Amino acid sequence: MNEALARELFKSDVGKISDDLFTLRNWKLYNREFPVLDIGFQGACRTEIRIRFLAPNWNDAPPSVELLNAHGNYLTGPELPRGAGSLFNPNLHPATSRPFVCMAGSLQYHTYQNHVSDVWENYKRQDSYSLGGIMTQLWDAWLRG
Amino acid sequence: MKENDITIHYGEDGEVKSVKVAEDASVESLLNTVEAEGILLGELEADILFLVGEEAKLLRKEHKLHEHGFQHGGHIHIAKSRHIFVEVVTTSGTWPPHGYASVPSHQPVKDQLHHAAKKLGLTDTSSWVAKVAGREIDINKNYPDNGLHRKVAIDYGPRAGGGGNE
Repeated sequence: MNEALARELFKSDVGKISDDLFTLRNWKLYNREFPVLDIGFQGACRTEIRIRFLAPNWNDAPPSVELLNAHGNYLTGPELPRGAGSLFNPNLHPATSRPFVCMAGSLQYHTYQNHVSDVWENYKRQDSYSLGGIMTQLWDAWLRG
Repeated sequence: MKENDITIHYGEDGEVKSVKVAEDASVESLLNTVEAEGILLGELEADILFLVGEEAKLLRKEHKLHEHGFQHGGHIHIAKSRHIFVEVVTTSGTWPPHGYASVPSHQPVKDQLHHAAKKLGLTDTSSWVAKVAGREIDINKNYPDNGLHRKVAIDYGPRAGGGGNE
């Protein structure tokens, strides 16, 4: 992937996420400088969770997704949102040795042994799998957790 | 007589036009000015729905603008009869880009969502969900049947999707 192209695609995607949306969703922006998109999900009576995307090869490859607490520390299995299906997977991913997001659109999902046949190429052009779309899906899972 | 510049937002795509009205003008005078500018609002009800800044107000023709927050350089929205102000917010952009669209309140919510999706270049929103203040709404119903009145910002985006099961 050409880095300049990845950077432009990243900027285009992230630039469409408006201030209105951050306000509506109680999202807290930590960083949106290429290749990082780092957003905190906040809500009444909920512990904040941060989702950090690292997308240096956007969109030839999906973002690597990191699960953090409000202080920027990696979440451990017991700290993951509960009841959100199995998207927030407490098992340790072989590449990172950390819990991971097991959902199409996450690099960890597409490189996990059970899902390597479900290729990113099948998703990358769908509106639901822009950077904002993937973040929205994770937010939806968190809300239901 | 001192005049105020006011930016009018109107129509189903949040069209914008700037007008000048006297500082002590009435709502009726404003509407006449707007009509003279070629903005067609049709027949309005006795109580006319305005957005002054972000505040929705029902005003009558005899009301004075300056007594209801209309200011020089301000932005207002005017709704046609039985309309609601609607903003559709997605991670791929917001429609209209500035302010709100004036939409018939008795039309299904999905009509404006599909319109917004088309304007934002979205081609596959079949699995998306619409939320207002965190509550999922029924897009096949109209706005009042969803408990929505006057002004609404609709958060439109995909549900958590495929994957899981380790």
